[in-house]
Amino acid sequence: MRTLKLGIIGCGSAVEYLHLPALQRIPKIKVKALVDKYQDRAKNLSQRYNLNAITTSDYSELLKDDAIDAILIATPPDTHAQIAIDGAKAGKHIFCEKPMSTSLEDAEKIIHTVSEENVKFMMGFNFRYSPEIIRIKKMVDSGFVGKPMMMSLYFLSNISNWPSVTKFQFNKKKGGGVLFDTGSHPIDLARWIFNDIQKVYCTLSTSCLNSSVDDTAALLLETKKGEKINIFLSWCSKDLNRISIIGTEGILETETGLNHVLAMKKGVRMGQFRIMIPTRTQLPTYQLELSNFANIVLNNEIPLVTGKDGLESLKVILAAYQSYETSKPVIL
Amino acid sequence: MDDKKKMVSVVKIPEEPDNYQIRASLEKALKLIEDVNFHDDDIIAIKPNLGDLRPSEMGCTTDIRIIEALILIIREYAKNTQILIIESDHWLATANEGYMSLGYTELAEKYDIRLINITREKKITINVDGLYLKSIRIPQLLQQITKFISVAKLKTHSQYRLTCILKNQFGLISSRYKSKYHPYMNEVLYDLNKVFNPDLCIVDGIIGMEGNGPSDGNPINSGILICGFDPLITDIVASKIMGIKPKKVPYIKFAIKHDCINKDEIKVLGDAANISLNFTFIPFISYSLNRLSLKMIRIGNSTLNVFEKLSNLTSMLSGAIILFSQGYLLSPNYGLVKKNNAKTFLKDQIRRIYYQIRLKLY
Repeated sequence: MRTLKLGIIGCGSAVEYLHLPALQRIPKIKVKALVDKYQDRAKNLSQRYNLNAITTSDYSELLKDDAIDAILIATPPDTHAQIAIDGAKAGKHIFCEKPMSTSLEDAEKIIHTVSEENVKFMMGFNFRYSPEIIRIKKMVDSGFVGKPMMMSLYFLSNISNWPSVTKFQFNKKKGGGVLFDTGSHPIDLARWIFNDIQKVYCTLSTSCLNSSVDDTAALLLETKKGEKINIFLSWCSKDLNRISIIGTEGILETETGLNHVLAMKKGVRMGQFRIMIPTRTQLPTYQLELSNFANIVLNNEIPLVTGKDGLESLKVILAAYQSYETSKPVIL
Repeated sequence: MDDKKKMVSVVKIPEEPDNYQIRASLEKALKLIEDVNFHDDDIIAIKPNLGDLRPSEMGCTTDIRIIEALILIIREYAKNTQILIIESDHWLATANEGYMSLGYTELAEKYDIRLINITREKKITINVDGLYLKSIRIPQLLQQITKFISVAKLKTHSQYRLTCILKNQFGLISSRYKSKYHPYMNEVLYDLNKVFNPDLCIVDGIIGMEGNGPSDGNPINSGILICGFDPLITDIVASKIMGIKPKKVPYIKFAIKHDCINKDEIKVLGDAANISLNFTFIPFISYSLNRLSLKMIRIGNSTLNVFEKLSNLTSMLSGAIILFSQGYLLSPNYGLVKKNNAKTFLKDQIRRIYYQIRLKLY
């Protein structure tokens, strides 16, 4: 069996608790190298997961290794651009965690470079692999809700539960803050299910953290087709990812992990009761997206989530910060 | 509840009536409650009681002549209305067998109506969030109907004293084997009638059943038709006519309490409005033992629930020990839990299970 030889750059908690357990369950991916600023961390992970991987604190060494086909970038967001560009120039296919970078200019450079170097680039928008969200997208596309009008997304978590080592999440320059860290996902889903965003309004606050970064955000977006979206983000709550779609003919609601979608159809008898549409219980989304990445590289498939998606999501995030600072909506 | 829903008509019907007499009585009963409102674009579902296939003259199943009269009345108002007869499989017989043996196949051909077997139809699950039923599987096509008419038989029931309109909707549970719901009939019927909510209720009391109903009782020439809008109100009136105090019927008592019905506001109209028949019943001791038997199943199920929750607690404790021993735990509900958050995690889990037990036993 052909396998994808992967080097992981950035051995923080996400790699330790999310990526590596998923990768262990994907036979077509072999983790061959681990890179971290603190090499001991990389070594510990290699031992703990029985990887027998090369460990180093300098990612350029990994990029010189012809045995590595692809890299997974899981470093703080402000470093994504340089690593991705260097990786692309070294001919490595790239899986990049969100957000793509912290500036539009850097994001555009990534897209340009991967195109020039003809390498695959995939964003880590794992919620696109959630069976509930896939079902909602299919139902919207098939016209169940009629003409889509509004979407509401809650992406909530309890940051005190997350064992961050470098605490970059609390450093705005490194791409910290709930909007940078968590906002990418619901913004991407909103674009994927509806259309590209045209107008952005945002308010932010720090509600529970002893920090200068935002931990609570409320966004109001409008797409190019006039659909309205509101997004609530918080690090001060319990874990919950909920989405509702309202159209002219019906309503869809779900939460990730619920194993069903609730649907209401207008103008039918017993329409006040939600229809429960079961979704197939699937593998964890990290496992699905990384498996998809392997197929993209090994079988030359087209990525579901591309650099353009990362760029568009980043545009909205930066516009949201601008809107907060000016207290005005921003037109993209 | 609006006043129209509190109206019930009770009309006499001659002994051994012919089709014309049945139709005339039904028309009279409907006129009394001032409702006949059918349109060409209506899709009307009629639910008879097909029970265990014993014929209507034995007091068991809905007299098909009432269904025929109803179809003719509907078609007089709206020639092109779509009419469906709906019924589910029963543990003794399937709906299709019922349709064949009780004359519905011929009726369907004669009047161009559809016979629907709910058990076999393509279904969706709807989230009911009722007192007992959290969700229910219903045929998708039922969402398209514009009117639902429940046509029940006037019968005693050895477990509940009475079976009439409210109980007729029990036949809309799509699964064939429904006995698991019997111990929870109060809550189940309450939920079913909120979901299906008939627009019109008709009680076939031409020949009722007394004694060991709903299947093994004796026919009684009750000679009445009852029509109403609300299933509970209609059953209260039917019960009184049978000589049964409504609050002696467990699910009627339950529904009256939940819906805060004032029996004094019920308006009974018609030439048999004050009729009082004396349906015989099974010996009180038999009825009591039947009730006790259902109660025992409820207690058994509650006990099982407690053990289920205790099992969850035990499993959680195991997770907690893993958390302490390896320093972290990937929990389906909480994601990653680290050892330094163990106390919060444990407290939360115990609280969840405690409330689950408390709410279930309450």
